[in-house]
Amino acid sequence: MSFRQQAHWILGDPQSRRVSDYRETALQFGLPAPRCIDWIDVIKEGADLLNCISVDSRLRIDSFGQRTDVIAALISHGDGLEFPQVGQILSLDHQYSGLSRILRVLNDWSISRPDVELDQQPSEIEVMFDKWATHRRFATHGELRSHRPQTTLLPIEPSAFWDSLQPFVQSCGGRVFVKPRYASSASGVCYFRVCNGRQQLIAPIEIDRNLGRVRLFNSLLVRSYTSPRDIQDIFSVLAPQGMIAEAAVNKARVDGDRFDFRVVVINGKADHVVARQSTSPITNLHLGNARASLHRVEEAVGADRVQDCRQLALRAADLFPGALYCGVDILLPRTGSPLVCEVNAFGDFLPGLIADGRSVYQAILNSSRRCREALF
Amino acid sequence: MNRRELVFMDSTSNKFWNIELAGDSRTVTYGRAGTEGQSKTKSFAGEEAAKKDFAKLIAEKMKKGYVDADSATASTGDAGDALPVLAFRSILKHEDISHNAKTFIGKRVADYDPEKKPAAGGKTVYRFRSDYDEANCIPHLTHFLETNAAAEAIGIVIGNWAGEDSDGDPCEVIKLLCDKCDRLSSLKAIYLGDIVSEENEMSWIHQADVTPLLEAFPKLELLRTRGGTDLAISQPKHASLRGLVCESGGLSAEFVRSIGRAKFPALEHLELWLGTEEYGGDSTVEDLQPILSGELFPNLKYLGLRNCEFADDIAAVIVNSPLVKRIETLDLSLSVLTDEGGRALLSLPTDGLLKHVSLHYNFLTGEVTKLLNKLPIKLDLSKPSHMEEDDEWRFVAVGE
Repeated sequence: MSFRQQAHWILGDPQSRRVSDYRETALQFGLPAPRCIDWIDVIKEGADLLNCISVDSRLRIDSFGQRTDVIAALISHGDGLEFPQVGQILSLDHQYSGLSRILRVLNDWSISRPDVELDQQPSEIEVMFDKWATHRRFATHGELRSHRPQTTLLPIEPSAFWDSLQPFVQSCGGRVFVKPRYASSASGVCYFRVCNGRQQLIAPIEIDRNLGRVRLFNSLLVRSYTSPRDIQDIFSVLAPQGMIAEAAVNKARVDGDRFDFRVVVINGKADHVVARQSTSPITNLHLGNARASLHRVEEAVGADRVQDCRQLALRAADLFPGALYCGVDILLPRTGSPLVCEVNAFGDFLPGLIADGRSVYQAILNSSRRCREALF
Repeated sequence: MNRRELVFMDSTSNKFWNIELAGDSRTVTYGRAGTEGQSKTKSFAGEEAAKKDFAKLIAEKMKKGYVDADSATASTGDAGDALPVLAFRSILKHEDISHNAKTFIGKRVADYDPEKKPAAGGKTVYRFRSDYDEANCIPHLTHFLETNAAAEAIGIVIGNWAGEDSDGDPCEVIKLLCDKCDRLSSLKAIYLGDIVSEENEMSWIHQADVTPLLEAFPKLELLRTRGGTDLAISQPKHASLRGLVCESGGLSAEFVRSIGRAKFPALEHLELWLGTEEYGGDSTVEDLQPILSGELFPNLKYLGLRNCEFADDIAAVIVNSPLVKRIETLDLSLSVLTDEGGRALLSLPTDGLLKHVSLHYNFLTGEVTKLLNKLPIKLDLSKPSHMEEDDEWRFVAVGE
């Protein structure tokens, strides 16, 4: 079957801009319009639903999005009993369990349907959504081990969490990132610093105390907490949801601000690169941070170092051979070689980013995993 | 008047906005200061409609803090002239506290890089700072002072001097600047402490006695500091200082009283971030009496008593202060001003020179905000009751 005739399916959120942009790109290429299956239906009804996918189709698994009903369904599916309000940081562990179960079902389904070409194997997505599993994959591949910040998995029980975090912070020179093991979009990410006996935690988190109960919300406002009570409260809510700690890297600067890179690696090419410029230690773009000009970044740190970052992203993506594409986050320290931070299965939504005349979605549509495997 | 030229300056920007009315259309030209900017023309059904839009747009800009380009506070003129008072503004909006200065005295700020030749003509203000893994502040400043650009520098920004040790003080930087003051013969403005929370919490910053700077730089017009701990001006005396800005999480009562004894006859802009008791801000409204009496600084145009826990007390007293009739701007922003203080401000004198009052980021309810808006004064009432407005900042994480 030729590329042009192959039917195209997306598992995603049909209401999202991700899906509509992708569909539009396919139409521009003269491809048949991709049809979208809603995550919520697969979560509720299982893989049988996917049998509507016609023979020899291509399937793109996209983000489950941020709809309350989908999040709640994932949490239920992962045996969770507590559901977040809009923006609340809650049940991340159960949300991942639910996602993980679905991905395994998808994996089994894909084995039964070898005719369907998946852009990303569900088992790869499962690893990418678990920061600790991703770290282990890097740490066990000698070549990349030295390109990871020092990292530890923290216990989920709050007092053991503290006992483990404190010596780790000391061993990292007083500055670490404490991140939810299963989350994205900077949700719950804390920059934690201990200095001359004082603590500081900078995070896009709002604390809500009501009737003696502490709840945390994702906030577009990055705040700095210095009161031990606030910090204790934040960690006591986050710890049971699963956290890792990573040594903080002193990121390089452009025009006085810090930056890091999101590199979308597609079919073994690292053409699509975004430098994310930020005044705070947390650089995610939706927190009001700007895409820096790559040209300015090259001027500031040298084109060679930017090239090193692309190379590292390629090597990181190579450890996920079952994924046609992924979004790799690369940290460039002020001095020294780049580090790989995390790999995002659905980190390819970067509207307007053009490299070599192609948008990210154009580049994805223009390549296929079957061709890639033939290359290896 | 068919044409208005407005300008705006703060710690992130320096921009202009011009509007011209011609018959039934108006043209707006705007952009970064020093550039051509861009123009947009809009036509209307008739001259009246165009006139109405002209007036409406100007009112909107003025509300945002723009001022007339030829006003006393904004005149920029040549490099040899005095700095515009507008350039003394520190942080306008609450969210600007979290990032380093992009501009200072209306000029672009850049980190000094000894590898690159510094810009000539004092167009760029250089920042000197250490990072926790690299103590560059002193070595880079030493390097800069040996260049020809030093003699042309109008402003200088000292960032995080402490590096790894968050308790480090700026005594060494102050000494270096003073020892080499002859190399900085054009210097008019110093910002000592462009430090954001990631580098060092405002309340952790250790400051020092800044008197040596006042003594070494008789032509200094603006001194801006950040950090309250150990901040002192033991000899508060300077013939030409026009702007003093002390940002802090807490200024000691002793420091506030020392300002009350100061001899700054030229002072036009005084901004004190009084802070909270938790961070050493133990002053009370009594300590402000010498300032509020109005005798102390005869040229004062702007008074900022910001980031203050007892803003209600200040409001109660300030409405009767002789000073408030004489100044143009009163800034009580970033404070704990409640409806009680808000109601007190309803008696602000409106027959004097007072034109602007900023109550940005306070705790006023809609009811009192409505009453205040009836005053014939330009009020900044943005982001009120910030304790209740967290919802607008919440976001849902998207799985990626």
